[in-house]
Amino acid sequence: MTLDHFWLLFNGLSTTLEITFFSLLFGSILAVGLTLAMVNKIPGLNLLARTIILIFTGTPLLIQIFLVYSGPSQFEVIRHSFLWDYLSQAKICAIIALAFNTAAYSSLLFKGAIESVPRGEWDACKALGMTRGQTLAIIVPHALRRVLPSYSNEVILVLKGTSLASSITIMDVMGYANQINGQTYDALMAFSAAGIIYLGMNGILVLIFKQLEKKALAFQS
Amino acid sequence: MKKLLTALILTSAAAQVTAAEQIKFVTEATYPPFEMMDENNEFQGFDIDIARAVCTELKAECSFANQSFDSLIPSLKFRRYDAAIAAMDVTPARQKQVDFSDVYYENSAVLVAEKGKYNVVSDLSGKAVGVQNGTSHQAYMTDTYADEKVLLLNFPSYQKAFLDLKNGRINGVFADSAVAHDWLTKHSGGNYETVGKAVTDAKYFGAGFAIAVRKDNAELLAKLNKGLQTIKANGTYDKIYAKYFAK
Repeated sequence: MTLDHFWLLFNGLSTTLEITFFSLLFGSILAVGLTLAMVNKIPGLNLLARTIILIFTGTPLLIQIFLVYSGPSQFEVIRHSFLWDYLSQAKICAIIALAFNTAAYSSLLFKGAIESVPRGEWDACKALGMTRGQTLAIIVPHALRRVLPSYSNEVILVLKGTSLASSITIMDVMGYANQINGQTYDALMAFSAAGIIYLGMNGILVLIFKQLEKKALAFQS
Repeated sequence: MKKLLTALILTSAAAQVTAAEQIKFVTEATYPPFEMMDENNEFQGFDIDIARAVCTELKAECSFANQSFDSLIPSLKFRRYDAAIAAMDVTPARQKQVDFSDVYYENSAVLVAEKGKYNVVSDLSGKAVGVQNGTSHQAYMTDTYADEKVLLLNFPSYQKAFLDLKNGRINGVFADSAVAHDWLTKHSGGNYETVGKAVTDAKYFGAGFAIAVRKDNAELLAKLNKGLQTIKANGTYDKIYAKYFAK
């Protein structure tokens, strides 16, 4: 393994970050939907949300990625529909799988945070005659601040989870590490270098979230 | 009691002496017609038959194991297996890692793509071509078509690459000619063909396929070469060749 190989790994970094960003974006939107369905106990949707969470927290991420990538291609109908324009792209498949995976875990975090808001706040809203929607508008910002530390953990898990996307031909950091290992047989260097890049990225994420937490949790100190 | 113990030790020692030599082969069994699993989950294919014939000549017991292609050479180096037979080209990069037996199959590589769309490989500029990770095909495509902007995708196995070719995710697959023709006749449905001439670049594909062994295992290498020579001389090799490749 040479220095050229090391720079090759950085080619994959943009793909890794791209998948992480879009997975988190769609995942968090989906997570808010799932949380609202559960907290408000909307009939039908509540059950659907719990089923989605059960499936995506109960199966390995690698299987989810494989299923999204290879599953739809088995159906002629899907292969000839407009959906295939999107599903034929490995990157989109990885983002779908990761987004659902992170949504399942984050919605549990969000739900726990809403429930951990002191009972008194709920009662106060009720006493003022607020509707359910008005109450949530008060409670949710408080809950979001509490969820930040555990959500930063989820972000790191997603970034690391993207490495599994290399198994469906995506050339992210891990994909290039695999290729370098295949060509040079220098497994130790190839995967160490990739590991260092992931470590660096996660270090930066931790620092960013530390700053955010300082601001968001200022009311506690 | 003492007698019993002595007898036990003696018999076990004798058993060790008479036991046939074991050769642990490793392969990557998603590569018909060279190596694949049949319906009974048994190893089959040209390479496997060659290895079995060599073992019969050497009066050795052979076992086979299945691994991903890019981990075959590492697992030889880590002494997990004795020999790798997996349609493996003799290349300079690999010769730094392992030793190779005599060549038992002369190969060439070819690109498979949709019928009637491309005339030469460089027509696939900007298109996606699938190769298996860690193969000489990958090295050849990376070096030769880097300027042509052929987008290379690495697959863990050629079965997955051909599946994605059919699904329209990639536009071509670059593989060994025998493997490509096997897929074209059995699974392509007549919609695909080879593009351009078959490639036989000795720099990448060496002289052909050979069995790989660990560097410090000259004894086994000599035995395997002797076995290969014998089956080539006594007609066994030709029989196996005729079984898999129509001349």
